[in-house]
Amino acid sequence: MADLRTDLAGIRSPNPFWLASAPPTNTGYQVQRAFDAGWGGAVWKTLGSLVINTTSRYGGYNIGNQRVAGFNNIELISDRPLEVNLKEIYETKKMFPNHALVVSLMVEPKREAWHEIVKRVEAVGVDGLELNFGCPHGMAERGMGSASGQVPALVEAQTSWVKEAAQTPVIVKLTPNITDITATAVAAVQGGADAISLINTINSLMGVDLDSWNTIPQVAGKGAHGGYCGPAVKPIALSMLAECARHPQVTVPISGIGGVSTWKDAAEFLLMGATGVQVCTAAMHHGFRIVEDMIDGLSNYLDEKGLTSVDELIGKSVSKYTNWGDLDLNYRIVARINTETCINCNKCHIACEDTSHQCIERHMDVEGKPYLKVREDDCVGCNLCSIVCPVDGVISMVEVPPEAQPMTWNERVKALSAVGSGN
Amino acid sequence: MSSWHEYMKEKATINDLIAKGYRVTKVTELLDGDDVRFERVSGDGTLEIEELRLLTADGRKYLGSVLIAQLRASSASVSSVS
Repeated sequence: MADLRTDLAGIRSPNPFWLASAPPTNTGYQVQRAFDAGWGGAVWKTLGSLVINTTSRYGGYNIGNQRVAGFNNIELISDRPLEVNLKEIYETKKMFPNHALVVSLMVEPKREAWHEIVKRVEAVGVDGLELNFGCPHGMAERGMGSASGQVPALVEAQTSWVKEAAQTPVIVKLTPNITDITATAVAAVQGGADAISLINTINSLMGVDLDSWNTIPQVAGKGAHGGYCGPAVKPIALSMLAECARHPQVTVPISGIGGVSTWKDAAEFLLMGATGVQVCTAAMHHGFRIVEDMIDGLSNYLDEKGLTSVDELIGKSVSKYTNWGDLDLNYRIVARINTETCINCNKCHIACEDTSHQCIERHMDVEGKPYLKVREDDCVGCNLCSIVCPVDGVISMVEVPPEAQPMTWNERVKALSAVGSGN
Repeated sequence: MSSWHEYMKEKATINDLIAKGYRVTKVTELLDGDDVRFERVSGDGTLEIEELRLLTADGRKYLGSVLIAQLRASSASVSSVS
């Protein structure tokens, strides 16, 4: 069995699965219950300036039969007294000394405020700190959370203030509500961060009720933007992770967050450079015991791949992620339809005819049976037909021999300029 | 006409010019396509010029590959001389 232990900037964990700072890590009872279930670590729900929460806090986004494809919340940070939280953190760490217990922090952007909370939290024996520069709602209106996290200079300054006082590793949690997340990732590194975590939630409004015309969720007839997470945000999180993982100035380990629901999601995050993952929505949807499948699944996958530890998986796909201009324009795939298993629903034909390149033809065989055939010369290999096909495996995208040696857009531009070009 | 057939005609024209000893000497990228200038020096030393407008994306892509091959061949011949 492969070794699942991880080490994120000195924070050791029995496995790469942590609960993210969120409602599931609000109390000692919950975190202890999570550790009992098998979670390797937890980031305690953010501590800081005391808040008052609304009722009606969450919204779920269902797509077809998939419930909670996306999830939104307008809940703020912990509304319980700091001393109560610290007592429970101390007890939890005593009970689970080998689990990673990190505490999320958020205070106003003042050096003294950061120093005070860092000292008080570290005094109870935590394994690390996570700075919440990402929460997009409520706290941001007071200059905290994503309001700080969207300004690289503030990220750098506040990180450096924390590092002045901190004795444990400092993780900076980044907001995705910014054009280029690497700008704040680099700022965190320059401020002395030991690691970064991403992504926090995305600005969102879940919907409008067509009967009442209220927002979803609504509080006494009014709504406000919330933080969006859950399976639907995974591609966004993965992209931001990849951008940070390949950035030469992001030299610290990364904790991956955003739509991780299964061991497969986790493996993708690890391959794209995360040292471990943090999970929230999937646990809120299905309970803490989902970690059992995550551990088993990842362990079996590592065994199948012949890997002895999770470390051997981390970052293996980062070099495969590049700029569009460095992709090979002469690489070619085309669609092929298996007429034996095709159910002739014609969805591929309609999709191609209406919205793509008009290269899937409808024919009749000699017995009058309909079949579909791709005119491969005109197929641009866009994948649309295979995406809309309702039967797995009917449409394959297959490589065909290229007409020429590999050539990227950037190489073409360079060649054109070498002979003289104009426009 | 399918863009594939349009491209095949452009490709055949490019290949024909290259086979006749022409080299790509200038490419002008326009909103309507790429204007490509081909040149060769005939046996009596006359400079002969052919111009081609490439309309298809595949045609412009193929020209890029032809041009890169041409530049590599030039570079190789310079290296072997020096």
